[in-house]
Amino acid sequence: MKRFISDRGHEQLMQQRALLTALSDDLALPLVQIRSALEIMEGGDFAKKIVRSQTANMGLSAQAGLQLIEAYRLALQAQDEQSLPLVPVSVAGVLQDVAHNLSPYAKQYDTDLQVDVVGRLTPVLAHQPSLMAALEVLGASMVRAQAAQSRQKRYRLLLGAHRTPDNAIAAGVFSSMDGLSDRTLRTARSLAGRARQPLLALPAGAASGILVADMLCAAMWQPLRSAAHRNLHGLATAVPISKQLQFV
Amino acid sequence: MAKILLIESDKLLADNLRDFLEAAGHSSHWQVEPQAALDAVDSFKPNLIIMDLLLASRSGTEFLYELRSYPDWESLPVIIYSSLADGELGQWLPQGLEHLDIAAYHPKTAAGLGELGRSINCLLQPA
Repeated sequence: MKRFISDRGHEQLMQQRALLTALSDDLALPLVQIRSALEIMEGGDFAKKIVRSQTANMGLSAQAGLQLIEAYRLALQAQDEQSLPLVPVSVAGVLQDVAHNLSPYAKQYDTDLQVDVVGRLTPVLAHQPSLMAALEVLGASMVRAQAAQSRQKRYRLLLGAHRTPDNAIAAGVFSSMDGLSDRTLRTARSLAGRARQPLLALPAGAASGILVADMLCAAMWQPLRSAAHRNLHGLATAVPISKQLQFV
Repeated sequence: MAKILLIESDKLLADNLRDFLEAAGHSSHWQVEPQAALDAVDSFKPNLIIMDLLLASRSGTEFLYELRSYPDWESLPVIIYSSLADGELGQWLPQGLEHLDIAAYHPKTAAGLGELGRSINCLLQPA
């Protein structure tokens, strides 16, 4: 028994280390964005409007970094606790909140965020802060990744939920980007912390959001998996419907 | 004034880099994807390329090998402004970048736009 705990502890430690390495790589991006914006502002005498817009951009970059740290903190907490305190949560409500929080950031990357919930979905048992954080960092990563794959005038990202054939609720983030499959996700989990691009389809600075979201979802129900929604591909978690909640 | 092709996967950083280049009097063209960047080398005819090595979908090193395989672009100056730190480059690319004729290598975390600007000025000065 002692040996079992020690192996499990070692595995957790390695996972945390891998995630921390990925996180440190990804946190560099918002800091580099802020530093370059500051250098430009220092170098010239700009109109108030430009200064205001650059300041807003720096705020959003800082917010993206802080959001990633918060999600990482929750992922560590989820690993330490045997089970997270789950409460009834409306998936549609959470998706609306995530879209509201993420929209200004998505706008910087010319991305329109839409929420699409198919049918009426019963509440699910979830740890709301973890679900929110998972969808926010997953969404932010996919906003950056989609804009990095090809140049378009506008991009579209869907925060979607639907009932699956096995009567669970799939909630996730969907886009027209390539290279997201269960296989690439499995490879990314094993490469986390060892490769700079654990997900080859994603540029530097976008993978740890997906890996942190994956850990948060795994702690509540199941890890992320590839899924489709309204002809778009993406990553989603399958939330089991609580039998008790169906009667509430 | 020079024509500079920028290959950078992050839009916000690319916007800042373009603002910086334009403030320094250069004209810039930005691409995120190596194949589109190769087409842009043909059409935009840059005097200099600034690029990252970690790009989505295709590696920046592959782009460099292809670029150098065309006689017209064998000596086109390339500055790497990369997410890879100096130490990591050796692990990632053990053979190094010498044979790809890289003019300057700046890790993003260590070098600001000022250093990048100094490299650009050095390269564009008439010999």
